[in-house]
Amino acid sequence: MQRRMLFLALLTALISVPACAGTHALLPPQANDMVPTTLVARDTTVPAAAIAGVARPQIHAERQPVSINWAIPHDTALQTQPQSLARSSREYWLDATADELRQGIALPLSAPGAIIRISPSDTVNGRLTPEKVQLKLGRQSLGADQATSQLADATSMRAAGMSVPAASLVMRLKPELGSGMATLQASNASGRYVVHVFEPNSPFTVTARADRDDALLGQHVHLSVAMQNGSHARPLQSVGGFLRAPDGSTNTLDYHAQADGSYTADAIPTHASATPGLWEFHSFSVGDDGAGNLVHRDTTTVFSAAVPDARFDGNAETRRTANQGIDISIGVIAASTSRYAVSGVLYGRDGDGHMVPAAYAQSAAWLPVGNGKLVLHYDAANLHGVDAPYELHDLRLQDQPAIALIERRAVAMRFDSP
Amino acid sequence: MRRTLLMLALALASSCTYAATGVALVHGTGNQTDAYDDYWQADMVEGIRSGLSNPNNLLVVNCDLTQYMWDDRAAGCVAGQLTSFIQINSIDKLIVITHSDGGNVVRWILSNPTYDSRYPAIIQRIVKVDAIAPSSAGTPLADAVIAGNVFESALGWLLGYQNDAVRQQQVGWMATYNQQNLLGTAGRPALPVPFRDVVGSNVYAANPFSSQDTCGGYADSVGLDITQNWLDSCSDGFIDCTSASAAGSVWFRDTQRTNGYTLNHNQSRRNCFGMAAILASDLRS
Repeated sequence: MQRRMLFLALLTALISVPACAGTHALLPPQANDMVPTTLVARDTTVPAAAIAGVARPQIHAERQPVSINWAIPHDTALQTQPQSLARSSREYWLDATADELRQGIALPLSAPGAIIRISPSDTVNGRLTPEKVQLKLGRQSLGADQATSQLADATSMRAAGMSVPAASLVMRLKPELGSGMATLQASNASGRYVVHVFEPNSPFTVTARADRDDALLGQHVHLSVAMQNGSHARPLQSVGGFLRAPDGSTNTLDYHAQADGSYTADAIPTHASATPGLWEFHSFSVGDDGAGNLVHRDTTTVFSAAVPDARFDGNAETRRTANQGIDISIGVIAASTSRYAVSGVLYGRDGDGHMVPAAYAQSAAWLPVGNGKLVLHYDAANLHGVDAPYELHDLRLQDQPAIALIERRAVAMRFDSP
Repeated sequence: MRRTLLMLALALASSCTYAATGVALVHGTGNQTDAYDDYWQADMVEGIRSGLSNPNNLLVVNCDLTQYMWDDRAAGCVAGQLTSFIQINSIDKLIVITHSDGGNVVRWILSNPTYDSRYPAIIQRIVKVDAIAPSSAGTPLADAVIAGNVFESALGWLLGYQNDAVRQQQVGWMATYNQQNLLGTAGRPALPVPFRDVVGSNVYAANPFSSQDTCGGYADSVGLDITQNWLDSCSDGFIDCTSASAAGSVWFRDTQRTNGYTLNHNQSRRNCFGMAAILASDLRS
């Protein structure tokens, strides 16, 4: 009788576990979280035509729901907010016609040892050989053979993994030639050319930084462009540039001079790109070295801009599973029918009383327009060493076919008992 | 009779549980149809094969890695070839050896296991990834060619189409992808399996009679000597050491295992300075 009662009690307890499932509201978004406010349906038709130079991607179409989780080291130091990258440039590009190159084009060099790449549009008739290229710098006028310490053709550069255009000629100037305004001349030039100048030894850099590396369509992205001489700021004279979408389309940007000599530009990506990829700020700047010599620098800065076609609905349910794992069911509102993925890191309290990351989970399924759910499952084995209370960190929502991050929350939930 | 049956059952059970170890080689940027000869070369592949108890359990992947890592012709193709290899050879322990951008493609699979329903079964069998010179944080060389390409496009003429794998390996792009789409770098959750970096630290091309300079092809070393100008003082001529060690953990820096020789970016995918033996030995550990 006693055994029967014990069995019934156990059975009742087991059956009651799902009934104990907790319902939670997600924590309010933190200052730097990315949360869509208005949803927009994404155009899911395959782009019909690509802009020149932009290939049409082949996106994987997966229909099966997939869920996976694994333990992560408890001492992992997870970054709570993504950081935008500041890229410094010591290089610039310019274009030249054959006539201009035959007469000689001016190349401002701010340091000895510059690397110059010349790439012709006409890879047959426009190919340049070192003996036909002349460089004037100060009182010196030398053939490329004499002016350079290193010479390479497109084959060598491509073998090294640098996929320069066909028929390119790359030369590194001898450091003893010095710096200043150089003149590059090619007597047999034909067609048009792009000339790329890289100055690895120059103290003059231009750094461009966006204020964020992820955005949603319609959100504002701010760009700062500043010049440095070593660790000292220098004013820029002018900056121009454009915003390039992943599908190759471009929009000219308005740059504004700031009191500290830097320039800023603002962009609001408003149209969905026909192909996945990142958006790029391309900035072309001119400054000087303080002695009247021009310094040219081109920079690129990237960020993502996703179509906000889904968001968390703000609700979640937690449940202890039969095998003592934890399920967290996250509500999602979708404006597009697509495959969405949710991921998050579950923190728990370790034996010393510290909140530590325990396991990472990811779950994806095809969701129709409307309200749906995605379930993060954490195996008991992956939660070894931690216990309640729990916190769900780095909660992310991705639109997988768009390769797009559409919602991100640094800390989304706290709960004591699943 | 009962004893015989028991022995037979044990024998069957042990054969069923015997771990079939396999190795798959994933190449870097390029659309490969014969990566065995054109990318790795026979010395390297056969040297690695010597570390397998069953020499048939080796796969040389051939995919179109001129695409973004997530493209079906890249990660999708790699997943397809790995899945077939696992099934046909009953592989239950898989070691993946990648080179350069191949590391990014495999890291996409490890980081996005729900993107493709084939991924979890692959990940379940991977015991480690030996990532040779992975461009985990991109390379300034990609920036240099893509920026020029964008410049040319803006002028309305195009000198040479740059593939999406190169575009993806720009430093800023990889920084963004590392934060948004990939795992295993600083500040991000760990990958589900060990991702162990082999880091090349220098390029020598001054002496055409030196094995240090000529192994892997002297002409290739000459190009790397120039490309190194875009890179840090510690680089393999294509990527900075910081990029090669940005994801996972560093297994070794070249000179620690190669009798002091450095591995440039081409030498690290060839059987230079004992690389094949190092990788073969690792299959047995």
